[in-house]
Amino acid sequence: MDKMLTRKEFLSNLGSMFAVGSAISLFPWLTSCTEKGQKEIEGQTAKLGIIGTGSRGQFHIANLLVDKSAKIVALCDDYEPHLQEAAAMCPEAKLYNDYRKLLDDKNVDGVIICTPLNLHAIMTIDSFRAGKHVFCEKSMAYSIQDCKDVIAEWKRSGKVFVVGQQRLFDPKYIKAMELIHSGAIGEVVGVRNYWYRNNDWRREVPSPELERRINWRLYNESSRGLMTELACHQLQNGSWAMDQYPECVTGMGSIRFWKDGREVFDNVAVTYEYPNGVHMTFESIISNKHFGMGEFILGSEGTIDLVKGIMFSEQPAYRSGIEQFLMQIKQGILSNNAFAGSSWSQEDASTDPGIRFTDKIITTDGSSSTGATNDGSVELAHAFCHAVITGQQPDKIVKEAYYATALALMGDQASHEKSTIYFKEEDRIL
Amino acid sequence: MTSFKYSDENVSAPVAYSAFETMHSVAEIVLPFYSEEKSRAIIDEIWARTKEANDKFNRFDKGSPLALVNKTAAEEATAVDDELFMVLEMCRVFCNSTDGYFDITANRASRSASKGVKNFELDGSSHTVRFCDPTVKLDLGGFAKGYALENACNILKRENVTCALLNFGNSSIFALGTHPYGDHWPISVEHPYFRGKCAHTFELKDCALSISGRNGRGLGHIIDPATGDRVVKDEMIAVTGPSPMACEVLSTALYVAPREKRSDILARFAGYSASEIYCLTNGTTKVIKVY
Ligand SMILES: NC(=O)c1ccc[n+]([C@@H]2O[C@H](COP(=O)([O-])OP(=O)(O)OC[C@H]3O[C@@H](n4cnc5c(N)ncnc54)[C@H](O)[C@@H]3O)[C@@H](O)[C@H]2O)c1
Repeated sequence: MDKMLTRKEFLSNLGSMFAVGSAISLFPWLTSCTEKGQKEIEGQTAKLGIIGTGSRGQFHIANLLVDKSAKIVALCDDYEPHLQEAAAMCPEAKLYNDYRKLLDDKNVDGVIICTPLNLHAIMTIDSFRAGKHVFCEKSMAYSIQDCKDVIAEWKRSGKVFVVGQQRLFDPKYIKAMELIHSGAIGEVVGVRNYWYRNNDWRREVPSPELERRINWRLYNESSRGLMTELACHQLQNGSWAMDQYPECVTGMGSIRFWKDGREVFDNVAVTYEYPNGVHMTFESIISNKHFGMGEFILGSEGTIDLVKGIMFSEQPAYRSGIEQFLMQIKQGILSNNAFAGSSWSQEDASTDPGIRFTDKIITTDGSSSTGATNDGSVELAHAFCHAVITGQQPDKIVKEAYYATALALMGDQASHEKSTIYFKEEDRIL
Repeated sequence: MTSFKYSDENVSAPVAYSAFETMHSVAEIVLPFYSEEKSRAIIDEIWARTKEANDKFNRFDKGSPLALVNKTAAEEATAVDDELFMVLEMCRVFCNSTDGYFDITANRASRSASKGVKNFELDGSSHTVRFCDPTVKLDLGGFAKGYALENACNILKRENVTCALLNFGNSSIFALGTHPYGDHWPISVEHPYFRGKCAHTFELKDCALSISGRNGRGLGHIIDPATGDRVVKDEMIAVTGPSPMACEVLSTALYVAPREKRSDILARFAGYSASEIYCLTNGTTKVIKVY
């Protein structure tokens, strides 16, 4: 599929979703997606190095190859087969086995880091020190201290920093948040997230000594399991919807089914509490996929299904179809009202089919561990190019990513300790 | 609950509007050209008549005549008043003329037991009704709105009203005369996936419109008499014609009926037309007329 077209669609979708001009003031980090933003960088390219050319790295490469504002000039991976796969996609790029050598490459303006979680902090910090702009995949880092170190270095560097929280660029979520902030579902009273899959979460290993390297997700030294790999995306929802961050989290986790030597849990259930008393849940099981992926904001007057882009009303009110004729006749005019349809009945309240609030239903079932198209990833990568070219830091992304990661890490700690973990004052750094 | 609004700001077209909660839904009327007092009188009478029908035909109200029939008619021939008897007779006729696709005995409990009109017997001399089977239950939900609308039209005609618009729950509409500023009443079907978006417009003049389908992506409330299952189809069916009652019956029957049978059934009703309205999730609409 033509990715530029996708972005054009995204733009036109944005245009139709918002009153003219309102979108950008509400979502300033989207500047890169506006026409003005596009004009700003016309004819210019961000020269990029990709560090970690595995599955996610190659996904970004494929998208950036059709983005006129991007030029991939360098690739780095210490696993030769992955480096060669990426090299085949970008024959002109310089190849490196050591990311530090790539960072010495003066031709590279910015790097995209797609390596295992435990390497995010060191690679990001080294990149800032080398004067590069950074797009690091989520989660931000392996520990809260690492995140804080990353942010301190970012601030010192004056460079641009984005993290792979692509929901910030997904039209469904943007529109949903606008609805929530405008009071469409009343007061937020709950946030429910879940992510179910039924597979072992393993990648094929050509030779046994590569197990921990290829399946880094499954081992404590390199991963914080379902929390950093899946929850991280969804934990953003409550904070984005309510513009506040949880005070504490409690949770449980275990290895119930995939007892294959892995160290990370194959099922977790964690609950966060916000200062206003709202609870946000995250549940994940990877040995049953019945419920798939779900993200809901529950309000006193309605519910928003973020994944499907549907708003449900607690009490679907009857909307008069013909009262508008009164006003028209009063004003001496004739116009058309769309109201007729299958019958409205009071009982519909319990079976409210909901209203789709995006006219393109692009939903993902959360089964891919590479990423889905149309989930905002393409726009996020483009936003990074825009930021690299203009030197302008997109708003909000770092803060959202920091808290999403911190919450994921706290949830992981809580489920290992089976305890309640409080958000420390000194960790509220942004 | 009833609301009433009146405006005589526009001297050439003073106008009244009223809404009335009834039949698990809302009925509304727009009535131009009358004084506030006269409009109130006409509208009050219409709502009173509507309430009467609702009270009689509401099977959920344990004390209603219809609920009583449902309770006892399987065991003994149950006497009903003239109006209910007439309604049951009409429903039998409609059931026959729609090949059984309109059937007030269709229900989930008596799945596949449904034998259409053969499900109940009417005795004209004693005005009694008797069910043939203990699982039979009568449901006038798919008929009552059209019937109430028919009564409302009769009141308007008796009062020599020539311009009014009636709407029962957005699915049953009657346009008397024309909009004061047009040569018809423009009535648009709302796209089920997009609130307020027009999917198709009907220009009605002295004409009823009834629409059957499901709400958005949800399940519908229309039951296939042959199976007892809810009917879930992609399209809505819209029927226009002189009688709101016949439109209501026909839209239900055509919705249940397979596509290839729709023309035959429609052809038995002179003066009625029907269309299949397909609304897609991408916001577009396709309308196919039933010939
Ligand atoms: N935002 C999203 O939706 C999304 C989706 C998938 C993955 N991700 C993230 O992307 C990152 C990578 O995930 P993946 O699925 O691509 O994993 P992967 O194992 O397929 O790729 C990681 C690559 O990093 C390489 N690597 C490891 N150590 C290295 C080093 N020291 N120097 C250079 N390269 C090194 C590996 O050889 C491998 O090729 C993770 O942080 C993951 O959470 C994000």
